[in-house]
Amino acid sequence: MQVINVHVGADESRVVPIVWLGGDRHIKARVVMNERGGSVKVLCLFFARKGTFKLETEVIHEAPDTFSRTIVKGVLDGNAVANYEGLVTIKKGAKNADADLNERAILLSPTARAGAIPRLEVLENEVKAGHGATVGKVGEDELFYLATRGFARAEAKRLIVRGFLEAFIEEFPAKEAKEIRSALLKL
Amino acid sequence: MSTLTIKNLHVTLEGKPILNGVNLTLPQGKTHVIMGPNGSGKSTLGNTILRHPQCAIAKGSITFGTKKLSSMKTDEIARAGVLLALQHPQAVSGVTVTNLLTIAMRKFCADGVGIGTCGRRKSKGFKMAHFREQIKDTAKALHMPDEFLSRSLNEGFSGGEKKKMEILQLSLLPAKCVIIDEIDSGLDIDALKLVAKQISKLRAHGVSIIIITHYNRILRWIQADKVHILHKGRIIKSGTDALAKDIEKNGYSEYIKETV
Repeated sequence: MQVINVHVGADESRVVPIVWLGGDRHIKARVVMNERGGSVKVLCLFFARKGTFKLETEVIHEAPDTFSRTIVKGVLDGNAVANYEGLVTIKKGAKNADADLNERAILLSPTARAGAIPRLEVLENEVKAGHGATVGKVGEDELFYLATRGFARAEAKRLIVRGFLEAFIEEFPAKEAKEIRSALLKL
Repeated sequence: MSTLTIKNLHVTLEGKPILNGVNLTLPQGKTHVIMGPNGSGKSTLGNTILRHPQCAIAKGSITFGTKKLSSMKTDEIARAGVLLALQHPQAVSGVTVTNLLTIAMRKFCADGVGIGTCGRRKSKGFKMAHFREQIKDTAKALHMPDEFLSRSLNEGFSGGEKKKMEILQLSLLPAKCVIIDEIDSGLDIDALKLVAKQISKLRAHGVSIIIITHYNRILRWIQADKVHILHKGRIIKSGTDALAKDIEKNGYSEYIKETV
């Protein structure tokens, strides 16, 4: 298991990039925000045909005016498996904390599997917090829309998947973005 | 020159009969308007012509020239030059309209759809730079800022912006017949005029047009050859645009009564 520990200082902005492109891996990321005004983005992108991925993220808001976004997005093909457990904790005293946790996984084959357990623990009243997770196939409405523009099913799927990942890659730091793009080209 | 012919079309949606014997002949270059109260089957008709997977043809046929659309796939129908502007266009994350159109255009050309830009391009080689300029010009004609061309398609767009985006795409792909489903909902009067202008341009280029609408408002700027009233899945009355004006004044009730 790989463990990533991050501490976000006062008025500091951090990005925690995580990428999985296949093979068996278990990653645990823990972010502590105990100084005022800290901000973090935990970004995880995955795209795989085989292997099992287990991801656990935990973001802890202890100080006031802290901001976090946990975004996990990926595409699974073949018999790849991704299981995600995401936790956001807002402790008493973390007034005006703003937290959101979101996972979206697209399954391209009937044997690919994705599981998501998003959790929020909010112990302070004056906060903004949200979470959501969707796991599903490429939408039929999107496929029909692209078909009306001349795209066959397989081409439409490829375009949607590429767009879905591309829109997310843009949020990564340049170094990781480059790494992901060159890895995607090889797949 | 291809005529769109719909013969005795019966369609069910999730098992429920929606169209109950529609007959329609649209010669190349003509503009027909389909009006009708809510739930009369207007959108189902448009979706069925493009073979939406949920619209099951129980009986009848749809042909376009020598092509039998009723036994083709949606993408094949589009590449045959029959395009649909959707009532509810989808958002496609990470794909810009420029992206979508340039990839689509290559497909149309590969299939040899031989009218408009594509036909000319075939002899001169692929002029993608020229096509990109055309996209910009069309956006300008629709008063859409350039940033719409580089944003994710329809993502976070307003209702009106989505409708303009549909007309932009239909104006640029090599269309022979377009079905325009409720383009006028969500558009303010100025936007509607710009959209109507683009539709008139298609008409001037010999494109066949089906306009599906609730209101005759858009007919102020588009010349229609025929107006049909669809009710309970059948065309119950056809006429000139005087019919559309009459509906605006008196509603559908008079025509619907006749069929009871």
